[in-house]
Amino acid sequence: MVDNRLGQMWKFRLSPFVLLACLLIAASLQNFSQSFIGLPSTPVRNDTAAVNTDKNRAGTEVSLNQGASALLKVKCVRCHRGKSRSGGLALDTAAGLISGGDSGPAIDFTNPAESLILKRIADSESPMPPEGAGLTEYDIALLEEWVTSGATFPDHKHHWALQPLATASTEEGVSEIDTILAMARESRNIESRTVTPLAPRSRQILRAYIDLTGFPPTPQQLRKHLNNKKTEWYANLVDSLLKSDRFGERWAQLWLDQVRYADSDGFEKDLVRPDAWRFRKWVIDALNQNLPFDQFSLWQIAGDALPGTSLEHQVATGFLRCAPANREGGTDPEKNQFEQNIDRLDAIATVWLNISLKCARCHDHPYEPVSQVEYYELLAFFDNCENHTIMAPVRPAPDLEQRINAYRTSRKKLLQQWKLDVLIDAWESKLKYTSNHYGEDNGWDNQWLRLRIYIDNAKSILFRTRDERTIQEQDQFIGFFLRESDDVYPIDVHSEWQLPKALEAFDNLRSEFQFDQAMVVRTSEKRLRSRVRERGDFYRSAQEVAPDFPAVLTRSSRDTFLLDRRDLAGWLFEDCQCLTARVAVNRIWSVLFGRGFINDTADFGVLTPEPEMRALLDWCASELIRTGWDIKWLIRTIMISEAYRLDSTYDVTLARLDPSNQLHLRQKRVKLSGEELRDRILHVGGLLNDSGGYRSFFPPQPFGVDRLSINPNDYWQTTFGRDQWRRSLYIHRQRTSLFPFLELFGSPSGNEPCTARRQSISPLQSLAVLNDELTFESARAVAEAACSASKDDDVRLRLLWERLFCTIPTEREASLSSSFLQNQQLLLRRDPTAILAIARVPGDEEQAAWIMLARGLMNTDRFLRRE
Amino acid sequence: MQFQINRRRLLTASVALGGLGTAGTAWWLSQQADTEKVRKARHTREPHFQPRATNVIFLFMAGAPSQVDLFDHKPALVRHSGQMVSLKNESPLSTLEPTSYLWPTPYQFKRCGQSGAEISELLPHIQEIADELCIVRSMISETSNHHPGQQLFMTGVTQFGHPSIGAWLSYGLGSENEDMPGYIVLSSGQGTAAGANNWSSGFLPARHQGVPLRTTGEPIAYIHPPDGVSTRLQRETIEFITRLNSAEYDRCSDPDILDSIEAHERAFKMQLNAPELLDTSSESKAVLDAYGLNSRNEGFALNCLLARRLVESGVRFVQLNHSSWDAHTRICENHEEHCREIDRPIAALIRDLRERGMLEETLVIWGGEFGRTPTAEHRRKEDTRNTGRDHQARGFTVWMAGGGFKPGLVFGATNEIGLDVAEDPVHVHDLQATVLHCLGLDHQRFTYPHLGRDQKLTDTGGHVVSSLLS
Repeated sequence: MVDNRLGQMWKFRLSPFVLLACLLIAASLQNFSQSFIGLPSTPVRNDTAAVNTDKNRAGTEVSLNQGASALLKVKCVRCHRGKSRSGGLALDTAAGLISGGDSGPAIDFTNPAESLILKRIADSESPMPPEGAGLTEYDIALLEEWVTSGATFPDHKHHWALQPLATASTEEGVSEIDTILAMARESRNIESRTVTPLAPRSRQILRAYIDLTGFPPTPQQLRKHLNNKKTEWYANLVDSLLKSDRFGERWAQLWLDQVRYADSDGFEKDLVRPDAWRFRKWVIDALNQNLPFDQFSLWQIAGDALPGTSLEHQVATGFLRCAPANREGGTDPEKNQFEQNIDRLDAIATVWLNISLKCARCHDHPYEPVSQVEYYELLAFFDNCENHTIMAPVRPAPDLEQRINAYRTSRKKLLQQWKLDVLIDAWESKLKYTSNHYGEDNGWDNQWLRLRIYIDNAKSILFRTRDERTIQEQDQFIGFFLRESDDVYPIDVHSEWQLPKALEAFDNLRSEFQFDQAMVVRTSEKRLRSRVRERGDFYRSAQEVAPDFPAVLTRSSRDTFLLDRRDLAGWLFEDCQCLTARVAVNRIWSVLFGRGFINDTADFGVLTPEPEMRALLDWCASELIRTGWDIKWLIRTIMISEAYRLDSTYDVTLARLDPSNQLHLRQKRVKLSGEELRDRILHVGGLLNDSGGYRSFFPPQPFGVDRLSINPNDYWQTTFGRDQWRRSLYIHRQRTSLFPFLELFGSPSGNEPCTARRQSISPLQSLAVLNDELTFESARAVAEAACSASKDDDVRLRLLWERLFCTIPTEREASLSSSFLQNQQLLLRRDPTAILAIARVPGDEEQAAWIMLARGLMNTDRFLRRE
Repeated sequence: MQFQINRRRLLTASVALGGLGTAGTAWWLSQQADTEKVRKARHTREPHFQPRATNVIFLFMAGAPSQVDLFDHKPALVRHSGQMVSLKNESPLSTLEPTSYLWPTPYQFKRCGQSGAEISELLPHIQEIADELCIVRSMISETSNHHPGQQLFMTGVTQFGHPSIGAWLSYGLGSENEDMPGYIVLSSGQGTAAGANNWSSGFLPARHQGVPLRTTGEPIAYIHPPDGVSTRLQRETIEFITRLNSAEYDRCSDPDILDSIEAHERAFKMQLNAPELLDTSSESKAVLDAYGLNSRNEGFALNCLLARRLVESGVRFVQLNHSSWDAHTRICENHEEHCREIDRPIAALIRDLRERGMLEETLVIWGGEFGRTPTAEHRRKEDTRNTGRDHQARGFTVWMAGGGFKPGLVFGATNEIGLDVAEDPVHVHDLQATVLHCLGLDHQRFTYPHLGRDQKLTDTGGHVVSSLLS
């Protein structure tokens, strides 16, 4: 599927419909140049375009519509809008186009080619628009096509994704997935016998293991399920895997991608967030406990505001803290807060509703369901968010109080020992003075500003006594003084006071105690005034707004003065219920089938046409709601369907019948993400370390990667020993420089929500799997196990295949392997140092050859996919 | 499309017939008349119209160099020296200090070449090639924070998540050299604020990501096989993998397997080719001298020479990051050092490209994410020796050479004291639109669907500045 997207890009130029339209336009336009006809040509790879033209047409209209309306916006709407519309013509609404201006309707729907708007733009003497860059031939052709194809504007009210769920009443507890698919196939005259048969049992087991736990089964597990003679063996398998703790880890990856989880700030210095992992741990637990999706969401958006809020409720608000933060010098702390709120709102729209609101930040936009004012009303929900770091032990810690006291005492001693208490007192009183006399002294102004950029709520902390501060607040102040006070105390003063040594001692003390802490949001007492910002600019505030919901997405009116973030979460599951449920189902479906109901690159906005299998989507969505947002139930229901269990062989005839496999005539071989692949490599070699805790770790990475960004600390403290073999979910995610192995496979940076991993294949990925030391280490383990189990090559091969692919080798595979082994042995025999390096024992070329074989197998396409 | 199918049939047929394997397949393919076309069809794409340039070398001066001290001579500053000005008028506000005093450049400027472009004495070699340059002194950015500024400059938006211009071009035009990545990044200095976002593939497929190339150790991450695995063993392993993949293809006919097969083929060639491209021993002494490479073989100078070699071998887009120019303090020290590092190699690169007849088709771009103020900055009041300059988003300089830009042109102007743009403003989007134009792409039509929108490098702005084109 490498170049599908490119295919779409050129698609609309290729469809016969468009070509015909082009010819018509060409005939009607005098100055039609060659350039349009000679446009970007040959799609490099476009299977879909070749086989199904009907679908292309649907896609075409959307694309045109979007292009044409955007064109109007860019080139015409500046004059033709609002009350002062030029010539009485408003081109920013459908109504305006229809009613027209002083010269009559802009569009003639009975004879579109005669429409006034087309005449005006093609007028040879005074064409519209009169000034500026004007319209290109391409622009004109685009508008012509749009008008002749009906000139439709986006219609939010009637958009399919916002409509009630269209479902026939079904018998409770009976899955309709296969029935709905059978009906759809029937209506397309596709006989049921053309559908691919169920996958062989071993493949079903492997698939279920990977999709539910992220790992293949061990040979023992495989045999256990293969030998289960019960008819419900498969449902039993799925049920047992849903109970595994690895379920939460595997599905947490999906959620963390979406909520833009990362272990660093994002901007510029990209400071490490040592406490970010605590939220990740919460997500894993919540998924394992199958917290209903509405609760799961409510806690993350408003956990701090729930009555009787618990520690876990608060930790859940770590979602809001995943927003990137800018701590570059010169940043305005208030603006930084504003931008974090913008990011929170955009993330919620993308994650829960899969629509984009970004345009509305700056202006009203026809494709977005909210106006600019409504956007700021939504943003107002976040205006009382205050960032905090709290103590958050993973397990109940009866001795916590004791440890905290011990820490306070040690810290006090440390401060006295390095005479820091006196220095910090002086520094703080100077800062207090500066905060009231800003502008007197550049150095202290800078210091004060940077303190506020680095430490949330710095001013309120500064004016509290040490005893009134939390441990974390006081730690932040000490850390800042030790690291960042060079604005006011030059480096030579720092060394005179021995600050670097004190810093080392302080850091040591902190890591000795290593408290579990969490980044959370709390409701602040004073609420900032929420205002519309002209053109999205923080410094251009306009009318004041209160929290409220956009008209298109609201079912009932509320008392505006009482709304808070709990209502925002509630709104997603009440007013937006149908959309929220559809979005959730689509994401899960996409994981289990390698493709959702709509294209990965699309959202649920008005430009996306109704999916072919909407009935199926809607059935799943309404059942999800009916079960009280039971995510495990949904995954189970999909996985026990026949559609999921089909084999993944590809068939040209089937692909012609149903190019995007919406009718599920087969399963799909899905490419593993970098994380899944690395985990699989770890697992088959028995290297996986499951007991490394929950904090992030730093696996060995190629030299120099961390030096390409400007993070001032040596944050990549490589993890050695067995801890480097922990699950990939726990790899430290530094936003400005990703772990290269994962980056090559398209792992997201965490800078913004990632709703679908970008699938692509590249030679660099091949090199990474082939040459990474980890693959070799795992290959050694697999090969050694096989070699020590038997002297018989056939048995060894079977063991390898069972471990890596959950199956036995075919004759062809066995013979290819035998000749590879022979060849490698011959080559290795001449090179004792190579044998030593590969097998780590001298002279055993046989073992070395088996290692090379195992390494080769881990690089086959089959290993890189969930079949 | 047609080629595609042919190639697939060939591949499967060849493997099925006698297990010729990768090398065999490649050999057999090479005997086919249309092999070249097959390759081209797969790895390059047609632009919208006839391009001026086919390759780009982007000299990215991260951290924001001071145009006042390099390319934008403001003699009036001498007259107004010491006069306090408000920096709050500058939008967007970037600076830590709300007011500061005007500070003329301590360096001499010279009118150079036929064009008479004024260039600072800090860049004596670049002065000599002034007639090759198309200098734009009226650049405008939207932000004056480094990270968002760099993202705007490289990816067209201040926000996260968009592909950099190199990734766009790799996606839009493909690679001319299938055995090397289409987009390569070389870095010198201390790293850039936006880090990997500066060469990110954003929402485009990950294979368009810029690939960092290192001049010490392993040139490309993961390109060296593990200890003990010789080239021969590696080649046989890849052939074995290919044979198994072919068997798998016969079983399940998934066309994606063919992409895997090809990725392995290319991977092996990349492993062989990359060290060769980095090996500068075949370059003449004269060339090495010109780049200033005989005394020390590293850093920005080496990267310039490698850029030429990479473009020569068909790499579409080479990005050289050099940082950091962010001189809030001690700007003289900072800029003197950085100019020493870049001056000679850049001049040598332009001449080298010219002499090899490559400059016409290679677009060289020089610039940072924004500029610096004509006022002085003192981070510590008492310490007047440490003068620096702050960030300036409106009114900074970039230049282009080759690739269809007009040589010997000085375009646009800042006002008398250099504090804002006075003539012919060129927004970063305009620059991007113009660069795409030179590569045969219409920035309005060059889109990629993401989250329901057709995304563009130039976001919602951008005009091709035709006065800059020859």
